Amino acid sequence: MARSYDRALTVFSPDGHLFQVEYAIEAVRKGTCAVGVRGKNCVVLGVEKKSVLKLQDPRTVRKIVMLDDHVCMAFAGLSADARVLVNKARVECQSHRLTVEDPVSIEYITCYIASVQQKYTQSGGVRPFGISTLIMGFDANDKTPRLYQTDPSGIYYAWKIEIWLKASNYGDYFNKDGQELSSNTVREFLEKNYHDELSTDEAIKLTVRSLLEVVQTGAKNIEIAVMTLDAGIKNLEIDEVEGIVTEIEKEKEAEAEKKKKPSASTST
Amino acid sequence: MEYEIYHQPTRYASEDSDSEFEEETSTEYEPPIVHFIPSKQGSKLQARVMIIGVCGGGNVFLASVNGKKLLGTMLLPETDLKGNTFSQEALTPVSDKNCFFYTLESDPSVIVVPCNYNVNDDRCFIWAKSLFQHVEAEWFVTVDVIILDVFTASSFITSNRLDEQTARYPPFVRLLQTSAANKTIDVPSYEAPNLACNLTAAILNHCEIRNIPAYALFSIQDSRHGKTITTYDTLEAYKSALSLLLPGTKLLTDFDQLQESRKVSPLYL
Repeated sequence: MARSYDRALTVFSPDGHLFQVEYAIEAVRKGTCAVGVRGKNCVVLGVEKKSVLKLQDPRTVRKIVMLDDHVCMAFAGLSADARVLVNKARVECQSHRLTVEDPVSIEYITCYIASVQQKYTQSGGVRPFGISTLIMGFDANDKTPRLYQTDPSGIYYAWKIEIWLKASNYGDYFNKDGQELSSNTVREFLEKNYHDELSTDEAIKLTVRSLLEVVQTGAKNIEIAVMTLDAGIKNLEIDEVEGIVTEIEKEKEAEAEKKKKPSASTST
Repeated sequence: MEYEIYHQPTRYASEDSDSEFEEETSTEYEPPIVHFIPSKQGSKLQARVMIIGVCGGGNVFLASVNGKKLLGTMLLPETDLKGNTFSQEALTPVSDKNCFFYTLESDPSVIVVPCNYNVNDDRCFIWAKSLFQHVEAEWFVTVDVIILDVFTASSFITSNRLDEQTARYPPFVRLLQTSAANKTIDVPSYEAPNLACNLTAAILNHCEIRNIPAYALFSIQDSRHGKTITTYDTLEAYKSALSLLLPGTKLLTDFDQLQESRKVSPLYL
C-alpha cells in the first residue's frame, strides 16, 4: 500500500500518511547524535562529531552553527540541506534586524525555519528538507534561556532537553554496559537527572554524559557549545571536554562499586 | 440465516489440478574452493592455533585484529559477491562477503579465519571439511582450534534467573570444548539446553570426531527490532577469553578502526 503513495510528496495515503515526510524523518536518523539541554541560566548544545579525514579542513564539517550573535543551531541529517536552511535563516535574521530594528526572538526564527520546512512538504517538484534542528539562544532583554526543535514536517517544539540518536548498525544502539539504547531510553535517563534549576556546569555535564551513552570513541568526537547571557556563545576546548569525561567516568565507577557491594553481602 | 456447506476433503475425488507434489528441484552447489596467494608455498596451512570467527560477531572481532598477513581465501559458490568492494588490502570491510585466511605477523603459527558470509546449515559440514582438508599441523603436535560465535540474550536459556548485575556485567562469554581440549580456563561453560548451531556445530563436530582440541567461545550479542548488533562488550568478551586461552599470543585489536571502516555516507552529518 505504501509503495503507491510514497513517490509523490503532495499525496496523502488513504490512512493519512505523508510518506515522503516520514522518510525525511528517517534521513534525520542517519545523522549523528545531537543533544540540547536548557539550564537555569544557560543552554547547552552537544553533538557527536564525525571523524574528520586527515587532509580535510575541520572547519567545513560543522554541526553547530550561529544564525545570529544570540542564536545558535545544531542539526542532524543531510548536511547539504542544512547548509541551505542555515543560509535562509541567516538572511532572515538580518532582514528582521533591518526591518524591525530588533534582533529576532528565538521563537520567531524557529517558526521561520519550521515554516520553510513545511513549505517544502506541500509543493510539487521539491522534496522535504532531510534535517531536524535544535535552536538555542536568549531573546533580547530576556534572561530566560530558550531551546526549540524543528523537524522535516515543519513542526516545532520548545524543549527543556532534547536528544536524537543515530539509527545505524554496530554499536550505536547500546551503551558500554550492554543496555539497549534508544532515544526513549536516553530520554528516560535525562528525565531522571534533569531539574529546572540546573547550573551551567551541571547542564554541561548532563549533556556530555548523555552523549557518552552513544559516542563510543570518547571526548575527541564530542563538541559542546554553551550559551549564557553574559558570555554569549562558547565552544568548549577538547581538554575541557576530556576533563568532564574523566570526571563522569570516575562517578560511574563509584556508582558501579556501590552496586556491587550489596550483592557480595547477600551471596554470603 | 444461511449456512455455507463445507465438503470434507476426500482422496477419492478426482482433481483437475496437477500433482500436488512437484518434483523438488534441488540445486547442488560445488564444494567450497580454497585459493592461496601465489607466494604461499604448498597447498596447506600450517598452524599451531586456528581462530575462526563465525559471521555475526566473531568475524567482526577478527577484523579488528591488526598485523595480519593474507594467505588465501575460501570461496563458497552460492555466496553473492555483488556488494563486495574491490579492496586488495588485507583489511576488507566486514560487510564484504568473503572468508580470507590470515596469519599473524607477530606469530606466524596462528591462523585467523574471519568468515564474513553466512553458510547454510546444510553446507556447514562441507565447509568445515574443506577447511580442515587444507590445514595441517606439520611441525606442531596438534592444531588448537578456537571458534568465536555469538548468542543473543533473548535466546539464552538458564536454569535459574541470572542476577541482573552479573548477567549484564561484562565480559559475558561462555565456553564449549571438545573432549580432546585439555586447557581449563576461568570461563563458564555454555549451559544446556543452549545449542551451538551452524558452522560452530559443524566445526566442533569435526574436531570431536578427529580428536582435535577445539574451544568455542560464545559472546553475548544484543539485538534491536530483530536486528543483531555487535557491541564493544561482545568484542571485549572475546578479547578477555582469548587472553586466557592464548596467554603467549598478543592479539592487537583496534575496535575504533571498525567504526571508521564501515560505510559512512558523507551525505549525513
